[in-house]
Amino acid sequence: MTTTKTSSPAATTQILSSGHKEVGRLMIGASVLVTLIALVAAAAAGFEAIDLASFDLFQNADQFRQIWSVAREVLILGAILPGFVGLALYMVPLQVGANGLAFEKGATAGFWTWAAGLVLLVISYVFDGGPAGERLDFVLLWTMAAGLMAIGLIWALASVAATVLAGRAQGMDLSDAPVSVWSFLVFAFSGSFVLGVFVAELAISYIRLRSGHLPIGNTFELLSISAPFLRSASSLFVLVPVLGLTTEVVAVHTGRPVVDTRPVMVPIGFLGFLAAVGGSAYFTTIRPVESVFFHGLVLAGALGCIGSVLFYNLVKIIKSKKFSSITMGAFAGLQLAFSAGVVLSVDTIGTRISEIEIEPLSVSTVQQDLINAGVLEAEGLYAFGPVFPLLVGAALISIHAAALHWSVKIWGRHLTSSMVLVSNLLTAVGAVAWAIGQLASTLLLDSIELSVGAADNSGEWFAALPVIGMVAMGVGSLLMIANVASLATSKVTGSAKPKWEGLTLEWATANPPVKENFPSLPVVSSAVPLTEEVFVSAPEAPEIESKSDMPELEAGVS
Amino acid sequence: MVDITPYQPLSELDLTKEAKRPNLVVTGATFLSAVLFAAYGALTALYAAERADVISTGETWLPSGVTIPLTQPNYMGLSMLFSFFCIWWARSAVANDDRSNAILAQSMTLLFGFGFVVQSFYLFTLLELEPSETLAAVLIVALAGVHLVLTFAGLVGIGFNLLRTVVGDFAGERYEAVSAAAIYWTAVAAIYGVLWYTVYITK
Repeated sequence: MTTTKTSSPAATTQILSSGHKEVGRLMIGASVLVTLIALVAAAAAGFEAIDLASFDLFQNADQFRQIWSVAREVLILGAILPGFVGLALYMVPLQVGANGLAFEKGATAGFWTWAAGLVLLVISYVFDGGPAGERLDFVLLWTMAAGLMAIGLIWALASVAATVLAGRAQGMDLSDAPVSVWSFLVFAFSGSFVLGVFVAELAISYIRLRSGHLPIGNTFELLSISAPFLRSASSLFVLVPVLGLTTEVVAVHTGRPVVDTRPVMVPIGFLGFLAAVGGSAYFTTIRPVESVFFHGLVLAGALGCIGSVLFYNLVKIIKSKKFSSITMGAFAGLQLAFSAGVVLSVDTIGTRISEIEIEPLSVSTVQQDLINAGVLEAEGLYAFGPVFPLLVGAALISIHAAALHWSVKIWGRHLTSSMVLVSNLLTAVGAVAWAIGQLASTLLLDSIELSVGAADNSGEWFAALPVIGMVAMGVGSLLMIANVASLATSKVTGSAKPKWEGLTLEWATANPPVKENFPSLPVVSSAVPLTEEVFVSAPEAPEIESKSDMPELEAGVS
Repeated sequence: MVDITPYQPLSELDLTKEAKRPNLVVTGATFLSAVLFAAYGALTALYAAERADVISTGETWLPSGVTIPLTQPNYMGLSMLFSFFCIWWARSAVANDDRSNAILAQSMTLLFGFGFVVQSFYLFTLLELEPSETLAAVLIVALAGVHLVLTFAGLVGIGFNLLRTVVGDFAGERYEAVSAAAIYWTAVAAIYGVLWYTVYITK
């Protein structure tokens, strides 16, 4: 196989196309790009937060709040969720043996709705909208833009769910579906629930703002809208695909396929259920009505689910004795996910049980302003700070590992493994540094802590840790962008030979798959269909050198 | 073009155990209905929480001079209930290739649906709520308004299905659009149940 560098004259055709592969690639690419932008914004806010007694980068507290808020929202709604949705749009039809996605045009519309929402969201912030904005029109635009992004994602997730439920290959029971497909299905259900609640909250806020019942400048209430992604148990729905994707990657790269899917499917399904149930804690940021028992039950269950999948994969790795970089990279994501679950549990239960109210230390006017706005927490034993970076780190590593694992299917060539390894290493180290900085400020200062960004811990040894972490993650994202861009701008003149192969249906397709995915629809009878007699391997399939013999490739080629 | 797919199915496949998959349109409608129900549940929860906050301060929730009559909401509920039975009657009729019953059932669903809409507007005029004055008015109009939009959307879909039934577009084997409409309408009726209890009954 050879590749050459070229411009991509077919780009317009790709963008206007509605195939699941084109839309999936677009969404994955956009997600990788937006991740970097969001991390840069987060790092800027984090840098400013090192010393909140005065402002260096920003002019005032409003500006700080806007950047802090946009980074938080875009990381979740613009980077992580679309990354998973993009992978699902591309891979699910291949994995379930379908020619395409259910409601393919709907998924495309979902992508463009999300993209339009993202652009409008940024515009609203630029023109002083956002939770801390002073211009009503643009604060209203902010609610609509965030709603559009969520609706677009729900739309695309509906296509994914319908494909899994109604478009599976003959003979493929749901329990025979690949683990990642199952995790995407659970993600679609729990994600749609959490995002649906988010849209409802935005709709009410829009009406209240419009009718004057919620004055602009009431930053605390507006910021609380995105709290379910960040604080309550419902934030754990982000981890559902992390479990599925990691298991998929580990199974292939340890050579120990998932023959019996139930030990993994049950915890994944239960985690999705608990995350959706935890959504009832959605309202607690404003109205603390939840009980310790409820949260204890939900979080203990969630932790058990993540722990059992972690253990399952650990056993596979140890038994196979294959400690490849891609396996360990993916597994690092799972470890971060487990850490996020632990910290979230400790925080939630600890806060509920202790009900400690520590007097704030002497604070500056700016700090008091931020405390009043809800950006700064002025209570002790509040450890949510570390959860956010751990969630983000786990999700990003998982997306990177899956992109490398399936790169030969997605782009027709492999991503550079070493670059993905470095990306994942930087992301893991960055997430841990960011989390430790947050945790240290919480435990050692136990007075004032910033939910996202960094703590107001001037002069402390951990002062710059969160910013260093964010910068490391940003560099990791930059490497990932370079890696993906190198594939997107070169064209294939031959058939890729995969460096690894699994036993699920996507590995029965060409690299990259032909337009219809499968020449004829497969019939399967187990979770490892490529071991079945109904398939014949075709090792004699020639390596194609002539461009005219290539399957139609929709990405990066003319 | 040379086929380079690395694995090929054998020419003779065992299709004797062909699995029946749920129809895509029906699956999509179910998913949409579930999401709508969840989102509306969230709206209702927010309404209830706001109301609890206001009442806890010793104030009344409804603006002074505003009373919510029960006659209209109850009749609207009955209309919704009858339309719910009618849409499933239509679905059953289409599945049995009974076109005349299918047309009758969908027409009656539309009739009850339009009756619901008319009663809704009448109720709004009786309530005399001024959204710009109180939060309660804003939220009540918002909750009822969202449900009304969902009802309109359902009526448009059912009307379109009725036309397709008249021209003979459905057969005993292909009636997924009617099934999807029935599922969606069930969600709309269930949502009205939530609205009826939360807003009109508990006030």
